[in-house]
Amino acid sequence: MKIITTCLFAIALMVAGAPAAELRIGTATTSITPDQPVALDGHRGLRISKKVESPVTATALALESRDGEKTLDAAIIVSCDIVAIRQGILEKVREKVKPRLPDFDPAKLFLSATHTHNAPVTLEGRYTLPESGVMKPAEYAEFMTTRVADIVVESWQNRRAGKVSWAQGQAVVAQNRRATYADGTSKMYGATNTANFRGMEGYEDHNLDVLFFWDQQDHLIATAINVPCPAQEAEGGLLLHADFWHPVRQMLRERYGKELFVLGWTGAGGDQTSRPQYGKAADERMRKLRGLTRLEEVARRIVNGWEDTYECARKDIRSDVMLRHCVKQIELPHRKVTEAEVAEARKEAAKYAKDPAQLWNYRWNHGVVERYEAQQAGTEGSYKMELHVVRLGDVVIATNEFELFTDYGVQMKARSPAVQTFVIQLAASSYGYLPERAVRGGSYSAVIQSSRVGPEGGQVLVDRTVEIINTLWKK
Amino acid sequence: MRCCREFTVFWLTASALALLSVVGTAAAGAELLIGAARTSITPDRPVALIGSMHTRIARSVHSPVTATVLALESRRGEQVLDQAVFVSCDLALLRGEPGIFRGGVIEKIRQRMRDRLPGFDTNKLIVSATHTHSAPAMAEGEFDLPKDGVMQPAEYLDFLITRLGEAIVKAWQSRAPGSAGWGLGHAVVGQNRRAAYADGHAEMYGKTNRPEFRGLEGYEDHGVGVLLFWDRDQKLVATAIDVACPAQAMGTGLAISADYWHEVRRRLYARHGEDLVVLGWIGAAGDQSPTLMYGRTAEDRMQRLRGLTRVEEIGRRIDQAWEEAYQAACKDRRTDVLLAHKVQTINLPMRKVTAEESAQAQAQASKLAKEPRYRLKMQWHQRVVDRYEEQQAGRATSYPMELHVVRIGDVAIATNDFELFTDYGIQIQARSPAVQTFVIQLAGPGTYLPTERAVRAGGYSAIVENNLVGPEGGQVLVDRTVEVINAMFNSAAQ
Repeated sequence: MKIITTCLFAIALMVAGAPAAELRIGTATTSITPDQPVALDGHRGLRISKKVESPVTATALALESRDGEKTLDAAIIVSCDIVAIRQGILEKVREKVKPRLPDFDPAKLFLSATHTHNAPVTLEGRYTLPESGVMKPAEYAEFMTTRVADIVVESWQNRRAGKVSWAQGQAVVAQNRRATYADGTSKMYGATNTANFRGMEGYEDHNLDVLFFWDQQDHLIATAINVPCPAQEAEGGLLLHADFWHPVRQMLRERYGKELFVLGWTGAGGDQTSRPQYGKAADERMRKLRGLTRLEEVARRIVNGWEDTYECARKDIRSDVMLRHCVKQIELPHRKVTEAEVAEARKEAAKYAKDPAQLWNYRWNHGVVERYEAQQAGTEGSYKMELHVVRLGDVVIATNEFELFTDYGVQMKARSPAVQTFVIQLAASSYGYLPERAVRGGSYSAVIQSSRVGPEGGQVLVDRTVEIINTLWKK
Repeated sequence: MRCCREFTVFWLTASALALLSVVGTAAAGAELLIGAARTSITPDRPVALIGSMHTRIARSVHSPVTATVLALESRRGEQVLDQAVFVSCDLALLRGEPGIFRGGVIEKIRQRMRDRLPGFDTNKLIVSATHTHSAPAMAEGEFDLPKDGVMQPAEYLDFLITRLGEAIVKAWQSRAPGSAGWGLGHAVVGQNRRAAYADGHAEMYGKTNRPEFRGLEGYEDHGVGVLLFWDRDQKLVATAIDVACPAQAMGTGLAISADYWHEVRRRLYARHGEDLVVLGWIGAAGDQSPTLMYGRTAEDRMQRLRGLTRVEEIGRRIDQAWEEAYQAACKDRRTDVLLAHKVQTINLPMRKVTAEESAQAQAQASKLAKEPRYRLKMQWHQRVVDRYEEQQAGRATSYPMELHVVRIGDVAIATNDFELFTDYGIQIQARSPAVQTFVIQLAGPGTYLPTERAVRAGGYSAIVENNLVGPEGGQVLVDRTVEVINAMFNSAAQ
């Protein structure tokens, strides 16, 4: 009811013509790096961190539009160096924030994940962990949510009148990671130097959408960078790190101020990676000639793309911008499990059932069996996803909970009336991959185990998101 | 006995060293000679432009169209090891008479060159087009043109060949020892121009703000391959830039234009001198365009904030990518580079015309036959009927394509005749053993060459009228190209 009221209020303001409003901006950042070994999330096998390569952090951006003393609308967005916002994490943060911020509606808070595969596990039961010597997921989740709640409060409390601008650059970072072959199959990270390789399955989005936040003296205080590519360049191994966002932040802070707050927003990049899928020799040679690691090379491209927009953004700084934040729960149909799929999943689950080291694989397959049984019993229902759509001036931010295949992001951008549309995946929660044309090709990320919502639900997601964006633009 | 053994070891070692020095001497010591030139191919009178189905007469020049030539020769002493002359033209196509595979523009140029360049094998001449849609037409009979006041296509063709000939001679005769380098930058220039919809069909330049829009059909290649050539004094004399996007940012206006290549050259001249010869190569880009399929409002705004037109913005991006590649490539200049150039005719199975397609084409051709202003379109449909008849008679079942594969050091350059869909270029690059592989499309008179997914979806560029060669032939093209590249790199290794 509250969510519907919020959206109706936002729409009513749009129709009535919103008055000139003051934009208030607050920022804060914190380390969410544990001080003990911890299980790293994102792979099938258990990995216990040995060392911190770069700190994993969370950065909060608080926005409020005001008319005098009256809050018109608000949003607090927290970008986290984590693989995903697992079930319950956002709720924990909201619970911790609520008593500390009586003037802020916790529903207007959401977290998003950069998808680094070298950050801690936050959910129990994903791996079989050693009894001792490793920080347990629940303990880490408690630590992380406390830290995040602190910066939510800090950013809200330090908000000041400020300005914003937006710009679009380009950075060739995302590369479609699904190779297709002559027989119609696809494979994530499949070989591309084979005679049966036919092309990369899907699209890549090389636009770089950037928000800049300024104080009243036009000093840059924060920036949000939307890269349609997950932070998985250096995934694997036993180092805890923030992947390419760390060198991006370092480079920007070196050049634009140590206090600059940098939010990394991952766009619709479920089928993307920053690692070259072909042409690796050329890429490696260039990188060596530049004296850069792969992480530094990716960061270089993002920072170059960001800097390419900076002077343009300075020319069009706005203080009087509309802020409207619609929070809605939308229902997405689940992907149907076929008989053939459940039979295969049962077989695989049985194979892994008795080996604690294969817990991830067991759960990945057994989940399909559970879904099928619910489907047969008629109890599966639809998935209720928390959607955030935030209008800020001429731009809009739209979230989703998936590793959303890029085509969906392109659809939203193409159909959106906003000058720029920022799509943030893995926001509020996480519910697996959401493939589109990829279902035909199969393979990890498009098979039934990987996706609980399929193309039918993906299309509902796009249509509902665009619908809400359109309502925020209606005159 | 020990003495004998020691002597034997010494003798064997000495022999091995002697042998190595002979082999080493034979392999090393190849000198790369580089020559470059450019010429204007801008007519001084109104001329018909090619690139759209309707007649356009250009009476002004937005930017001059030029041809740039790069001449390469490797020698060991007086012995010529191999040669290649690349000519990049600000033209839409290299097509003389429509539908004619041989006797076209490139053959005409070679005929003129044969006597003018003794010592140069004219088969080693590669001519390619940047695909600007604002360049003169050179085939008679495509448009209904006034007889007076407009340069006729045949006259323009003659002018073009004369100018190209002069530039080729100049580049060839100016070749001198130098060094080469290569690098890779990135620029977001081309966008896949085929919108795919929920019902499975695709449209070139289809609307993307429709609820039925599902995504852009194919891939994009934002790598910018750069070749650099310096003279003996380390002065940069020529550069070739490979961009997987046709030069069509100007669209189909009424002025002659080199499109974005003019802006690229202008920027490079400003930093490296007006004498720099800049060759524009278009990669596999049959399904690409610099016209945005979505996000135009954001891009228009950025251009306004930068004070640039679209053409200037694209030029800026390519220039940035070039600089990226240049800065790194400068650290790795090579004098002793292997130059090898294979020229082969490969036969590509033609796309079959179905009876239904022929019937539909016949109906369209008949409808358009009465209107002179639709001549080009009528011919476009009629050729399908003619192909069907040839096909039924068992004639013209394959398309003979002249394939050029040039190796320069660690780099491979592979040409094709077509507006080649990007997936094929990616396949070639992915399967090539070269460190960098440059694909040059429209190095011949060909048409669109679509992928299987494009043919399934239909739409302009993937229908039978557009394709002499379809996916079956496209795969043969890729496989044969990779085969030749592999042979070049493997034999050198051996």
